[in-house]
Amino acid sequence: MQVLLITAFIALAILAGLSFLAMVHAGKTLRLNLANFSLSYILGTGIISLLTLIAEMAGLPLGKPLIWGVPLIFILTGFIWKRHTLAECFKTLRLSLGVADIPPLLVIILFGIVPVWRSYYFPPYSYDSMLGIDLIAKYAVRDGSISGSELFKTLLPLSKAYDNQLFYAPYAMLMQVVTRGIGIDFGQAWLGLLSFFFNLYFYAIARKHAHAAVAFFALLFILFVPEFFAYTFILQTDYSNAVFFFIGAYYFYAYHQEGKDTSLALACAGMFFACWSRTETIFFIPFGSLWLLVAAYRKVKAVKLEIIRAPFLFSFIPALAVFLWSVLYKSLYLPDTKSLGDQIQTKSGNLAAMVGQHFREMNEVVIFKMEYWNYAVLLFIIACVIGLSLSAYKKAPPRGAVFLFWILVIYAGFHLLLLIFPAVNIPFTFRRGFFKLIPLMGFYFVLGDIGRWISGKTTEEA
Amino acid sequence: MAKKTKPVQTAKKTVPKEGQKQPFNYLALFFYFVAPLIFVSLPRNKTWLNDRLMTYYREIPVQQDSLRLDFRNAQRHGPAFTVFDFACKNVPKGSRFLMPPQTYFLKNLYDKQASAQLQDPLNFLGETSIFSFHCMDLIPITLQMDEQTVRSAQYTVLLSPQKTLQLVKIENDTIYKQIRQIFDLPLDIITDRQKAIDFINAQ
Repeated sequence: MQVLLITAFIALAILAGLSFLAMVHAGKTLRLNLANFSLSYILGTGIISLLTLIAEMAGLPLGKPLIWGVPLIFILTGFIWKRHTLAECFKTLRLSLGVADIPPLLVIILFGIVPVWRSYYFPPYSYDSMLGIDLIAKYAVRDGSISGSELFKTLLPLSKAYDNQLFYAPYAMLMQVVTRGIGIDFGQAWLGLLSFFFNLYFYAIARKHAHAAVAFFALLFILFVPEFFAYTFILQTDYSNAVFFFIGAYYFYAYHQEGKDTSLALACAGMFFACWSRTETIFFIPFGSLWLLVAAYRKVKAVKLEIIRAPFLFSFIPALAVFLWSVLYKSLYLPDTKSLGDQIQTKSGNLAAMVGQHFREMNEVVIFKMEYWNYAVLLFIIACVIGLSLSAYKKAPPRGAVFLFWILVIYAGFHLLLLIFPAVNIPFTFRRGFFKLIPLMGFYFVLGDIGRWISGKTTEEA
Repeated sequence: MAKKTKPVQTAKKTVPKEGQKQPFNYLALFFYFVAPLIFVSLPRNKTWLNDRLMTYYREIPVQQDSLRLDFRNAQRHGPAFTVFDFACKNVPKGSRFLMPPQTYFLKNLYDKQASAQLQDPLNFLGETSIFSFHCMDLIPITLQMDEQTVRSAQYTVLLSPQKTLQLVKIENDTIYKQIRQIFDLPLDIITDRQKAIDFINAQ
């Protein structure tokens, strides 16, 4: 029975994602390759979570009819509205993988069984999940509503202590609501599946840009990271945040390269769900908009309205994710709690000294702690040094610059966050926020000089 | 998004001439086999693969034999689940349950000799949210609430000298006063293992 439910859930997510991709591709070709197939599951879960919250805000009771029905309506809408795109998509279905892809795919399956099984078998037991994510979900499923559950109505007012975890970004919580509502034991299986489909997606995308040898190595790079791997079956918000952020960053790169609107839309969607899974992500997004603005200005060399479009959308759409939950839902539906404004307390003291101290602590406690990341950071730094040296020698922008940019933005962004918000700390917030960097660093290998050299690519495309 | 926009950056491509054969990429072939082998044999990666991943794999057949939900819960959650689940199963639904302080459990489950073996400071036993997570049928009351609310509690649990859980119904004022005396302990939640050991040794 559980196997049936889980399979049905996977199908629901993939169809919802496919429906969304068809809408985004708006008449252009949608190829059902491995990348788009895996992306469908990932975006599909995001869309299902968003639809569930909207339905709950509309006052509909959360139960099996709604949890199945609302995504099905979305799927039907997409399939009917975009039936031509989808018909073309299924007609041109062909396998574009080769013999060289078999070992990496076997590795993905090997590394997929443990997260999927463990996330199914064990109940959520991390502190944040028991105090926030799963706590809300259990009551929401039992009582038929998130804000109207006994948790928010009687239990929390009684204890008068509100834990921050309750107000974390809702993706993980809503996924628990949906999967528990469907009837999957403990709900959590969606997380292991997310890691499986993300590994598939990462490899497929890497394969698009490089030889199988490089893509295989990049895949191993992101798999052999103990801390990253552990969170594929421990329910927290951070793994899914890293997944969505990578998707946003990749399509940001694709948009920067080719300027297609589809890429922009997917970049905005990726970053929307990145902010939907961890609120602090919104702080990193405007830097991307700045990059797009500068790049567009340098291309056009005049201040025109059209250069503002992409930068604006890239920040506006993810901001909606934060607005919908942290402003709208919280203020209209959830009981009074400390506002974000109260939490901003710039720490007083010598700025340089504080930054220096944070720098040392970040290195000591997180970045160079090999128990967490094994060789990932070291290998990336070596590749980075090689890449930047070559770029300085050639007097050309470094290959994979977009990904180096995002890595730098996240690092610098955390320095800023540490200075502004007392709730942000290094052993927990930064360590888990660091997950975003793993796929970005892995993809740098694909696009960087070493990867290009091995792939035999002599073209100038970055 | 129907309006076409100019690409932001054009990619310069060098296209190989027609008929020019691409030389076989021996470097990639070499890298394809050698890089994964070296990478997986690196000490930390090899250890992690054997000690973590393979261990998890070996657990799967065993776990497949024990799929009962309460067993899976108990395996993962430890003492907090044991205590709260006991309360949940033995107290009538909807009742108000007085949570003993974490320090009560620390004091009664460990003596001075055993305190050094303490791994888990048992801080989950003091959290109302975790109680509500494990037991949705009861209303948790803690001693940090006001007097009137604490008096309204109907049940609680105590530890017998044999360290088993006993349900106590707070039926009258005498029992209430006794309970308050037994629970007259520091109420702050101790999350640090060493502080928990220090507390036990100070008893």
